[in-house]
Amino acid sequence: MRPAHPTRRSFRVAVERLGAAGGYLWSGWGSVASICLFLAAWDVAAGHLGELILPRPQDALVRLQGLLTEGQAWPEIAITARRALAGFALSVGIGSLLGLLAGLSVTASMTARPLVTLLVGMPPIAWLILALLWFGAGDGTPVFTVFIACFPIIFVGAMQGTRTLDGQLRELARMFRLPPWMRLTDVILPHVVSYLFPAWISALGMSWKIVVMAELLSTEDGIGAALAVSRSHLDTAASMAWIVALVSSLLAIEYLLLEPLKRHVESWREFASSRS
Amino acid sequence: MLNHPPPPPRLGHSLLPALWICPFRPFFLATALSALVGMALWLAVLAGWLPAPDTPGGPVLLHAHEMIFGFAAASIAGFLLTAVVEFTGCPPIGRPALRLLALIWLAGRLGWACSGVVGLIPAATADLGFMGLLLFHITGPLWRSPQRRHLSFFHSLLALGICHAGFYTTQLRGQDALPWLHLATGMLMILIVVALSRISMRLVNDVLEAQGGMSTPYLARPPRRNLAIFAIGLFSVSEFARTSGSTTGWLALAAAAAVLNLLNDWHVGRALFQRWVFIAYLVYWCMGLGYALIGVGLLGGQPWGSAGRHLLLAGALGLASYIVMVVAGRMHSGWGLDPRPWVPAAALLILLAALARSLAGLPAGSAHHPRLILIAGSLWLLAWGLYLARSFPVLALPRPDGRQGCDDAVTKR
Amino acid sequence: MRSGEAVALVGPSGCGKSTLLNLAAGLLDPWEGTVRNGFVRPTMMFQQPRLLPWKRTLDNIALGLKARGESVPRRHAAARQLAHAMGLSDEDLDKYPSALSGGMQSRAALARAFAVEPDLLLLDEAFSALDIGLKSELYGLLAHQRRARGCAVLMITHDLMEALRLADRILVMTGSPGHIVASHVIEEPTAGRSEDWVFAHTARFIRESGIRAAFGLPPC
Repeated sequence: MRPAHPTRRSFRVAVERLGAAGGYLWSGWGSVASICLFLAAWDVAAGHLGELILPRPQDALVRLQGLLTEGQAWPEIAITARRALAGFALSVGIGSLLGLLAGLSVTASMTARPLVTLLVGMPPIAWLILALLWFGAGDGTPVFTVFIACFPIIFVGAMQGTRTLDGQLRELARMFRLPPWMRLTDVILPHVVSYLFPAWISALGMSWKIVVMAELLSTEDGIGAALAVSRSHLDTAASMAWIVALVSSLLAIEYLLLEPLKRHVESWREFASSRS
Repeated sequence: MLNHPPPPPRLGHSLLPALWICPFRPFFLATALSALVGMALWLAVLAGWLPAPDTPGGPVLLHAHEMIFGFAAASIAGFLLTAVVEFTGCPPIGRPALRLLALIWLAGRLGWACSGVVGLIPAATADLGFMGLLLFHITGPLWRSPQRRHLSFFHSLLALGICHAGFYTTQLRGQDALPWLHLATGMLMILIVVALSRISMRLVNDVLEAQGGMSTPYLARPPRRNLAIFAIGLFSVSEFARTSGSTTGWLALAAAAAVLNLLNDWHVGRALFQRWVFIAYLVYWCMGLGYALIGVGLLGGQPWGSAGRHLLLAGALGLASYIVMVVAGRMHSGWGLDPRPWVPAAALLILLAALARSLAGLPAGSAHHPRLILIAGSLWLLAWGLYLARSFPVLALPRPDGRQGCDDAVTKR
Repeated sequence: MRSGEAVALVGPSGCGKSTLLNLAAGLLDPWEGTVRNGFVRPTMMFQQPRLLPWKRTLDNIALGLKARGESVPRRHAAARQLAHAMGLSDEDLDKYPSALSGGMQSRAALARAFAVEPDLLLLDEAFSALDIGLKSELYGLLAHQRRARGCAVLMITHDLMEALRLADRILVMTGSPGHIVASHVIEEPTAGRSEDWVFAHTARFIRESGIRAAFGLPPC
């Protein structure tokens, strides 16, 4: 069999990719259906509890649309996103690097275990109190709280990724004389990433939750602060609107950015699992 | 060929020599006739050529009832009586029982035609008797089959029968019986989802096989189907129970999304564009869009219910009945699938009819409301006229292979 | 070992065959003594195929070439040509290793080993997990590539028939401490060895007292 013409080949690959992307997006209808079912349940609850306690979903959505079109919401969302992403980026950078290094040495990973347990066990609110004492009211407090809450998750992921690297594949790398850079990119990283990615994703979800909590207690701006204001005005519709904004942005990031990325990076795994 | 003694001459025998050899034949003929007669009379009433009938509940109720429990019920009877035999391997019902069933169905139609004079009791007796008898005939084989895998047909038909009984009780008490017909619409949609998953699995895989070497066989996966059935059922019950408009609206959107989610199973590449597959695929599109229209209308406080409902009934139900009749009718009469261009043409006419009727109920079409309804009705008549003209030999004449009964065609296509 | 020669190392489990092979491959460093290795490009085929699961088969075969710094088109062309000679199709090359059958994975591993044009190929029971049909096909591929490239082969195996089929010289090793107790030169050229020949010689070989002692069999 002769190899297909290169342009036709790449065309076919492109069509396949597009099809896969379309298929992925289309499979979202199942999630849309369950979200609509949830909104119906919310609507029933709102009907029983009354508007003051729980606004109807469409009221919250209309309110959110109002906040967005009036331009009130975007700056707050940007501020919150900046803090969450800064803290997240810090923990991704530092956590992944330290985890990788710890995984390379048995002694280091042995020493790190109890510390990680300690970090995971520490409630974020306790870190928040400390951060308030250290950094005061400003960006520092939420960024630090996010960083310290996400760090252990990513650290453990990276460490386990390196610890579980197959000794046989290391031998292979030596046998075929892979240069150090290739050893990292072709052997170590693909394996470690399959551990790191889930950790990153759960850390991202965490960062989004933690940052709002930190803002609620420590800052004058951001979604958390906006929530505090709407609560003090007993404006449940606005509170729900903010919560909807928060949750839907998280869903969007996870399903439109991280999940496709994960599928792309780990496409080999997909093939493996579809056969077994 | 063996030389049989000539059968004794009988009334109508020369015109419909093989009408009773398989259960789908009389009922698919009845479906096409009721689609034509029912719609022609309705259009004549709307256009003012005929006076509005003085049936109980008014003309709209008559139109809705006849489309659901006349037209659709006949196609369901034809399909179930034939399909259950195929699914379970049980012997088909005898000819006398089949004649009785068809006669009772006809009596129900005549009962409605005379209901302005004699009241609703005769029609109710005939129609509910028909439902009961149909249930009786399919229950045994479904119950006896191993693992009772096809019992969902029984459940949906039972639900449809309960709706029908509720409809008559309410109407005879002099109350508004339309909500029962809306509920029945939901049960019909569930029945379509159940039936189409069985038919499509075979249809699509036949096509894939014919195209050769496809690595991913088509599977109608139960979890997605169950979600769709659950969402449709919840919406129908919520609508029936008159819970708040917004709750029902969200549930309608959930049903729409769950139906569109079913299409994940169908995106199998080129095979989708094969006519048999694509027509079935369009059924779900009509269903999804219909529920989406109803949902958006309810949430936005717009009167889009009729537009959405006609996408469900004229679109999804019309196309589903049509594809079942075209495929099952040809397969079980020894003709094999029909390659001629009228098949997609009539499907397109039904789709356009549903879209035109739906548009008439939306703000964009309100200016041309009467004309759009007339266009929709004419397209519908054209489609079913085409079906009847092309399928009469399949329904009423002897099999081309000379055999009796409902055996599958030996050579496909 | 001479260049181009095929040597089989047989012996009971735990006698140090694998250690010897790893020393030859440079995967282990000797605790004492030195290893004299005049071959420049040794390569090894392991007991398991050991393909990288996250790389397509083509990239797996081209791994050694990439390590050597060949450009993408050149290494892909070379890998593709070799893979075709091994009976892998373009479709197989597009797949991830997990989507290949065991036999196809072994072919890919053999292709990967030959891709770097080794002067010494080390086989660590590379064919022991395959069925006899696949084994015989891979023996053929191995012999063909060896003739074409003139590379030396050092193989360890439990399978005496495999040794008699492929080797020019058979070394018998015993354990604790591991040392070579017998050397058996086969004059018959590998191409001329029919199945009957292999059967007959295996039967004769297994009766020799040195072999029986090495494997702990009672003398006959």
